[in-house]
Amino acid sequence: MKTVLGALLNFKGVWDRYESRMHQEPHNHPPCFPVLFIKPCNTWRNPGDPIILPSGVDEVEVGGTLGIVIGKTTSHIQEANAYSYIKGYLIANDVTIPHESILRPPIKQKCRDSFCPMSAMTLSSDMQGGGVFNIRIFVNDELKLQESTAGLVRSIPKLIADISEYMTLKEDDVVFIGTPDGAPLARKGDKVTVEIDCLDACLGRLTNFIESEVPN
Amino acid sequence: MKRARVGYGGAIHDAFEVTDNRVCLSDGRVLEEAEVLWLPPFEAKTIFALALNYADHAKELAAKSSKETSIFLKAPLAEPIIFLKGANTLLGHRGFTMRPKTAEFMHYECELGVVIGKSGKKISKANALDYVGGYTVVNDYAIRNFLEGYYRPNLRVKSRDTCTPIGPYFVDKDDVLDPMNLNLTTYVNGKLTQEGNTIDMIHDISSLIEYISGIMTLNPGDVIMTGTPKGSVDVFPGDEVICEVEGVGRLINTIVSDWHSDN
Repeated sequence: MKTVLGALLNFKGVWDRYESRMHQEPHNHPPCFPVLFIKPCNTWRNPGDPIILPSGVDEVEVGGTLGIVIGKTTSHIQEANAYSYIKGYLIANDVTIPHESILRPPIKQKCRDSFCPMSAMTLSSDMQGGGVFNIRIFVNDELKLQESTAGLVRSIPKLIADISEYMTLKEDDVVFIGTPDGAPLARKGDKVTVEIDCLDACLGRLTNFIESEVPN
Repeated sequence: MKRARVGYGGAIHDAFEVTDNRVCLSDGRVLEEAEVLWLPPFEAKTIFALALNYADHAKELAAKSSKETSIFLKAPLAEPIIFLKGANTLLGHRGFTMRPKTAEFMHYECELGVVIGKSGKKISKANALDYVGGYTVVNDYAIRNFLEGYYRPNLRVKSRDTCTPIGPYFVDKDDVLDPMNLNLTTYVNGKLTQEGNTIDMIHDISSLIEYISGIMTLNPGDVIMTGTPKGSVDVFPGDEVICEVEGVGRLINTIVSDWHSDN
């Protein structure tokens, strides 16, 4: 089975917001390596599928992100060659329950059923590669956030290289680059859309609707 | 029955244990344990693991880091500390686990692995064991000096290639009469270094299934690595590490040197 993982604190804005806390307990120092999490298979959904709010949760962050799709099983990728191991990109919504503490793995916050809609993949051969992507997040068709990947803490090739230093990446594994700071919130009934494009290609849009949990 | 997946004669086979040291392939051939190549005994889906699920292990770690005592001792009592691992990290019985060059403290963790047998969500503690398909032995290695204080334990400590030996067998649930009373032991080069019993888990199997399935759907093939008791010892290339869970299996692993060049 493929693995879907993502980076946290990888947009400059998010990093800056936490920076002062990084020097205090229990963090003690800024992270030296990518801060990662796993989106397990119970979270995976298709475009159009409902995102289900768990009971007791009123709102979630719309974590629009770019997913890098691995093309060749490998480990110890060099940053300079990293693009040759990428076969494409997809749009993902890393749906997250808002939380302050970043000490423990975000299972409750990120691993709920339906919390990871993903689009189909766009082949990287259809793009020039190495470009900067623009991510736009809409709630009910209103643009709420726009951010480019120019300001990543770790660039796409650097992220892939650092992860593969200890994890073999398999064909079709997906790595999320992280979500921009200030992810908009959405509530029951909202339509949430993530749109990503770069200079020479448009990945398209990923739209889902937020629903509340049907009581048993 | 104790089921395995093994490589032999140029093919991969389903197999089962016939006696302590012999396996029978699905085509009827009976082989010595050391004659076959051992793969992880089943295809794991989501891999859950527990941090600090034995009080004596939590105390042992706290003693090494007074600053973090409160994190170690208080947090897991309130609710389980769960983390996920990638499939990349699994390794079969008699496999080789790499000690990275920059490791300063690398220790094994002998654990009971609970394998989910049917899908469920919001499972009550009273029915939790109905959702178990079987059990296995896991060695959940950690490189402690790779810990960073963000969403910890971080993947660089716990989701490394080769660092989660599992097996040798998937043991049917009905063959384990009381999973909450099994001795756990680890031997390093023949010397007993870790000893405990599943009865001392802070959150028992039923509580863990209730807790996790309260957050997300559990599916067949998901595995919960239930944590380790005290007895963490640094291990080095050449060491043979044997983790045994009473009645479930004896999982052998060998530590090898980092094979990557420095440049």
